[in-house]
Amino acid sequence: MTLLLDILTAVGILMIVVLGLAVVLGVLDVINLAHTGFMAVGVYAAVVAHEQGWPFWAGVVAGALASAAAGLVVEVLVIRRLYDRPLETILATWGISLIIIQLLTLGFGHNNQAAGQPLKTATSVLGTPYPTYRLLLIGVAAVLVLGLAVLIRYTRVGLTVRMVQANQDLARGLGIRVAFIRATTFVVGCALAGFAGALLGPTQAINPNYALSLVATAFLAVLLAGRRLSGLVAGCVILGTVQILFGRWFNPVYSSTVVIAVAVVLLRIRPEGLIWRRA
Amino acid sequence: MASRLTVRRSSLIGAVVAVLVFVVLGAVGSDYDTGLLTTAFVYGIAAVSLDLVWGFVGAPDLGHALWFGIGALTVGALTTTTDSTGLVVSVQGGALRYTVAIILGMVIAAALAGVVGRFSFSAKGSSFYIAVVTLALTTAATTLYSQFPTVTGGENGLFGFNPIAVDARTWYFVALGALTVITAGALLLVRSDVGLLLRAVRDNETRTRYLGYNVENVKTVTFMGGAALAAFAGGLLALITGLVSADLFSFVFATQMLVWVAVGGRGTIIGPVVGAIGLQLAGARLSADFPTQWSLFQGLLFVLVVVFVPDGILPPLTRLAGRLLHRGAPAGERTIVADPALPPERPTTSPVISVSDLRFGYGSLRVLRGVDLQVNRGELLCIVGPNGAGKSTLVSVLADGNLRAEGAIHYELGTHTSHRRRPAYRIARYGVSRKFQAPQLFASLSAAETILLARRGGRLPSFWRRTSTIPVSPAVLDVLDATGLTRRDNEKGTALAHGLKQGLEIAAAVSSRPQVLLLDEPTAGLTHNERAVVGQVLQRLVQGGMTIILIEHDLDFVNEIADRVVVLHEGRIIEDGTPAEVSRSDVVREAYLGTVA
Repeated sequence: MTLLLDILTAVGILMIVVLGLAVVLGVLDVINLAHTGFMAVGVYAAVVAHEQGWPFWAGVVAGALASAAAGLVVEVLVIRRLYDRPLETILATWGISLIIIQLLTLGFGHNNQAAGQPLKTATSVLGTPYPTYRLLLIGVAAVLVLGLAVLIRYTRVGLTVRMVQANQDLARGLGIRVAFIRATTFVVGCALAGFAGALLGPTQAINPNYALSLVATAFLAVLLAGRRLSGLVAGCVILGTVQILFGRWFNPVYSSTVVIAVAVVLLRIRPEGLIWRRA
Repeated sequence: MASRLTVRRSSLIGAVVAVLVFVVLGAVGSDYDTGLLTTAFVYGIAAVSLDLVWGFVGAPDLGHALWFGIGALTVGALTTTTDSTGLVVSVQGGALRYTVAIILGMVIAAALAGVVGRFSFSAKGSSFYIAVVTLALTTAATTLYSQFPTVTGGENGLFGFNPIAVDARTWYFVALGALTVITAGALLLVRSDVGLLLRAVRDNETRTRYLGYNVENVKTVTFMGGAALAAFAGGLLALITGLVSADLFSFVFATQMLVWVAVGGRGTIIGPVVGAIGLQLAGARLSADFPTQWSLFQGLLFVLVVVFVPDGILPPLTRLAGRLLHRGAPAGERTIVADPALPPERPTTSPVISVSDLRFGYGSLRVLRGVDLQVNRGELLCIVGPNGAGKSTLVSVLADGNLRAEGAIHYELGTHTSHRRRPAYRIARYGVSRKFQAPQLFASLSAAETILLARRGGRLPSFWRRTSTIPVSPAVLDVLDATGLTRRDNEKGTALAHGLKQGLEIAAAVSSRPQVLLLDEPTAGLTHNERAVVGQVLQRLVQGGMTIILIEHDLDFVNEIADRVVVLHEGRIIEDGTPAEVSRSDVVREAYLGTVA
């Protein structure tokens, strides 16, 4: 039972991390390598909030807002100029991630920080005690995914975004402010990153290299998704499960390497993503 | 010719002067400075290796430090013995052991790069893969490094295994020599004919594939070469310093390499070397006192260069220098000449491609719904039909066996007879040449260079020779003449006017001397006169024995030139006959106008 819950939390954490990344990739065709950087911005905002004596959840909101603000600056200064050069955005965001890490080091030093520890209790799930906070993460992941699915599928906002994604010139011709939609999407992606960063603060070591251990798995999961939410879920489930099971049965240190190998092989078999519309 | 020689000579003189300056510095410079430069030279080699991978075949290797680290670790691991905690207890040196270790490191790096390349480069996959996969590998490598202390030395790394007999000044000259030789070799490679192929892959993979080249292999082999070269640099640095640690594998170091290449100017070989040496010298003092600020500065520099000067600093500088010295003429012009030695295309009569019950769709959209078609040798077959009838799809399925269509396609192409579905580059090599609907040319290749690659039809060009005259069959010259491309050999393909682009596309498609030519709307966007000229050219090609399948909308044009017309409507062939027969057909009129006349 603990194993199952471990897998569920691993998948949930992965989903929370990956969602902002997937939104940016899906709509803008930009792999945001600075994603973990924005997560770090989020968690450091939560750290500051914690030091000011704010409640934990206010810190999470502050994290999302701080990342959104940072994302807006980055979009206006850099990303906006690179939309027609997708491969360059990879490099630019990689540079930005370096900049963020160094700025955080300058501001806060190398040492680990604390962002507070909410819900220290354990809840019994079918007789197995499990940390309540980790259970909560599973719930948050589910709500986020469902919310995004509904947003994209059934709302006017989702329709507009899908139009920009499918054909930006046509969308522009129909009076949609493409530049605005793109900027908003990027900022939302960054806000999700900050939210994820702050939310995962209690489960990770908080230093300027925050979440770098998650980065490889997260990016691979996004590639596996192939622009579809169902693919994203499938990718996270597969990689999360592999990570936990391998770690449990063999050696947890190698599990990140195994995850990469599994993802690379899957990408070779299904280069367009795990799930696509069948003929 | 004269200007070309001056440009070449001036850059050669510049390079010799630079090397000489460094030689003199090596003799008179302080120990501190030469020590710094020694490392910088080794980094220069790493920068060249990354430039080959990223600047030439366009694969952004975000984890290039991995290969460098593998080279260094192999040298360290083979020359030391450690206790169980990873502390070095004894060192086994010796020239032979060092040499074997360096070579082994290069082999391991190349082998791993081969596996990674095989998995990451694919026709369908996104070009992001390689970036993400290399990044992931780097993070995995740094994790694994600490797990095998008996091999890697763990947290402390390995140390003290450098040959004691060699003094620092000797290493300076060894590093300088290695950098000079490798840079010269890399320059020779990228300026040779094969260098064109590398740039073609970077600029437009799809088009390169349809010229008959196995793009994935080109990328993988270049990737392996870059990895081996980086491993050599790593091994050399390990020999010089006698140190290996996880830092050499880290993404921080990998990012530094990216910065050298981006700032210096990717795709120039010299630029990355200048970038590596320059930043290493500038950063040496700063990074000791202000490591965080220096990293921050590098990050800012990187982003600024990527956004505002994607070519890097060297290309604008050389352009400026060229203008100042009145030597603006581009180096190394190529000319297209007639080759009377080539025999005319062989005339034949039997069917070349037969298609039966071909079905294909994108998702739920059925595009081809059972096409039966026989293409005869030496005919000019026009495929017409309303928009969305499946014309372009039919041509795509004929030219690329990776599109999974149901039904049978049989190729009868002289030496190659096949029922099997082959990847696009194989079909191109069999002698099926394709021109796309919209011109697809290479941003950094001139007209002559495009023709050079096209006419080799997938055979690997020379790795060192730089062909300056390109012999082509009379048919190609005919196309170039007719479309007004004569004497524009050295203009970049993408900078040509639309009509000339179409002409160059047709010329490129013809120059591999194909048996079958697939042309998707070669006259789209051309004026009436240009159109007539293209029509005559096509008729002359057919008289020369070529088979042409042509997609066309202009029915008057079709009636003028076609031997046979096939009408495609809603994924089926509804009429097949001479132009006169087809234009009389009621079925066709109904398909186009929607009513029975």
